[in-house]
Amino acid sequence: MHDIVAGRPEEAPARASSRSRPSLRRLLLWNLAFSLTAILVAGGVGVAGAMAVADTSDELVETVVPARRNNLLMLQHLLDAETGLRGYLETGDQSYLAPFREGRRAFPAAVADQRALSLPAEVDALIDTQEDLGSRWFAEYADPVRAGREVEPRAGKELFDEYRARTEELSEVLQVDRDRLVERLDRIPVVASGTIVVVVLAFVALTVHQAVRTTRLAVRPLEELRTTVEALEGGDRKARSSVTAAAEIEAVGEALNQLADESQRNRTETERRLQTGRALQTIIGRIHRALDAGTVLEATVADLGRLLGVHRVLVLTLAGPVPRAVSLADWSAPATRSTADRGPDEPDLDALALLASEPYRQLLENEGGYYLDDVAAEDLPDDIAAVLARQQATAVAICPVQSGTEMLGAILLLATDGPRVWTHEDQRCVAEVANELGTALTHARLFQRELDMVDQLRALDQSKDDFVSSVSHELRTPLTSIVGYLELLREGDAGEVSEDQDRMLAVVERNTERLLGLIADLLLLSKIDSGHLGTERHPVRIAELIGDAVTTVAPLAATKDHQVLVDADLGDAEIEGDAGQLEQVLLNLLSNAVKFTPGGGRIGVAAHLVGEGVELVITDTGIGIPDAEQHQLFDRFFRSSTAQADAIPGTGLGLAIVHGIVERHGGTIAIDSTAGVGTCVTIWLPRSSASSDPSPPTGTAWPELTPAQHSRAAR
Amino acid sequence: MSPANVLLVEDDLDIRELIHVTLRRAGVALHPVGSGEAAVAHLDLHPVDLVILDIVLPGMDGWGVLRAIRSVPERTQLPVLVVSVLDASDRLTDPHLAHLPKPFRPSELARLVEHLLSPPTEGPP
Repeated sequence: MHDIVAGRPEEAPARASSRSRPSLRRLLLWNLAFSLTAILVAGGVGVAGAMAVADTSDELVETVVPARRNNLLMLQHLLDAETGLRGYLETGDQSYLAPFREGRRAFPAAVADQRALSLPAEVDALIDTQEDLGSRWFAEYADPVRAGREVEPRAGKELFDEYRARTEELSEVLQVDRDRLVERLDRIPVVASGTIVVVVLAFVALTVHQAVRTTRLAVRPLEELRTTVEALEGGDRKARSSVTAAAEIEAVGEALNQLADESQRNRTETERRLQTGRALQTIIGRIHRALDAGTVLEATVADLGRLLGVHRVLVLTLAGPVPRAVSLADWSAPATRSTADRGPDEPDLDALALLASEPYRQLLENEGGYYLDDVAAEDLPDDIAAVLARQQATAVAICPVQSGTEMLGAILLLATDGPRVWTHEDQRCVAEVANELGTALTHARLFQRELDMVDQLRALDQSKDDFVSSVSHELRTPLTSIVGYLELLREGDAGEVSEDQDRMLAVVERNTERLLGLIADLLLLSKIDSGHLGTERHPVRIAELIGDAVTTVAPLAATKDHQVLVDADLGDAEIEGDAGQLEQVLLNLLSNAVKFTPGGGRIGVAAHLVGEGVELVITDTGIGIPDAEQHQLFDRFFRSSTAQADAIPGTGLGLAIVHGIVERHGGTIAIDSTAGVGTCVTIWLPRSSASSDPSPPTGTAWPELTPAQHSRAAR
Repeated sequence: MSPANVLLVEDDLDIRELIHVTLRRAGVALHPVGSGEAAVAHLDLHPVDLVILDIVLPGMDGWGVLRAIRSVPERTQLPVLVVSVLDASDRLTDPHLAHLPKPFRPSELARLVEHLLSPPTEGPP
């Protein structure tokens, strides 16, 4: 605004001065006029010279030269006549009269020719004399002589000599004429050239003068203008034209200056907007990043306050139909913080909430907030005016913080240093921050809810693990008595046991084992789930592992007439792992194979080195698992419909445990099964597993009993 | 030769009885107590050759009893057989400590006790 006002006065003197200067148009017209005049003058001189030359040479060629020739011809004719006459007189030969007659005939013709030329009067007089002398020579001497009359020869000679003299005289006159003309011919070009040179020099001088003027008034200013334009282009925003030049160029300079001023104003405005935009982005970015509402709010209101240069920014949450405000964030500009007593501000919160209560709440919800540029100028209700007066507010902005249509609260901006104009830009900033804040608060709320839920689930999971763990332990205590007394009984510690009694005790013992196996599986799974299962890392010889497992299962397989085929060509190949857990994997899979294969089946155990690991393949010719159920294989307590139909006992935990252990060893497991044909389980274990187990090896000398070991011990 | 004195710390009466019956033939003098506090009191008054220790006890638990045992210099080498449903594997750095998980087979308990009482002790089997 200041710039615009400042720009105006400069125009007036510029215009005034431009009136005193020649216009470029006039300058150029002058140049054109000079050039045309120069061409015309030089051309005129040239043409005049040429005409003079033409006239002179015409005179020379058409008058003087023919006159001289005629003069000589006339003399020649007379000489011919005289020579012929003398020959005749001396010889009497008539033939000499031919030249005489020729001369007599031709002389008057030559005289006539001479007269035909327009010659000066003095020359005409001489010609008259010549004609007279020639005619008299013929009449007074030649004709009488030829006719044989005696004539004084001297009279003829005198006439002739006289004629000769006149001829000489005319010849001289003509010679002078000729010389004069020739001299003139020589002089004309010199004069013409000289004139042209002088004219040209004069015009050159004028042209130089004009050129200098043009340069001063047009070319140099134009260059200056170009320099200014280039400087402006190059980023020198202060570059301005100050040319003194032809009116038009000065006008162009003025226009350029105005353009530059305008551009400068635009740029300043754009930069300010960009700055605001960037600051806004920072604020919004922070809001987006922070899901914890508390940390984001203080920083956000502080940024917003600094950005807009207000004195206080509050974010209030409004609760209930009679709004009670809770300050989520409160920021005061440093200057006001030192002077203003913040203590009494607190009770004002509820008062400030008035600003967002009915009927103003409608304004907030429907109009997206309200902006008071000058509180003093507003006709405000008493209560509102009182609230603002207590805050010493001179300008106020309130913008709702909404989540969808629900009003969560409001951003309140207070300025205390007089009225201020809430520009569109300001309003946009506040609205955008409020909008983002609404979203962020909603997200934070949801996020908090999620966190709470995760915590609850975690606690639930933990209590489940605790429950499984303590139940397993609590079950083991009574089982200790059962197992112990069973053995004592069967070993006869309490007296002789009959065969029937022993058989019954064996059933009790077998089911106790089952119960113990189930408890052990549950506990193990619970450990795998909670990550508390320690996995040792020792070299384990695969061939040995397979041998032990097969030996363990062999008695069970024998009871069902199964053939157990081992195909292992591993030699001393070892893998890093927990021998106990790996053996359990094999035992679980082999006992499954035995269990789920009808009597007289084939169980295969194959082991090969594949890649950087060992592949174990356990196949059976059992009942298989229907395709539709295969995706549940590793779910705990999953029991295939075929197993249930055949009433094959099991807990449905074995494969889940296998899966967990193989995973802990960094291996993979795949099961390929066809109902009624058989099952093929393929396990791949890396030879040296980078430990995925965070717990350190425990180096136990008495590993806790696993179901496998337990069942082996029981056997 | 007087029979070996074995302190049994076990709160479950049935298991106490089971162990008693099991060790009857081994010719040991068994002194059963039902709590950790009672065990510590007994140890302060009567020297023993072996402690059979349950871990889950009312009041002071088995680990507390073990600390009390080891806190006296003369008892740092006293053999202790932990008989528990809990996984005691991470406490087994002590060479004079053995572990028998519950449920146990009485014959296994008898074998272990016999082994722990036979000098010199060369660690668990």
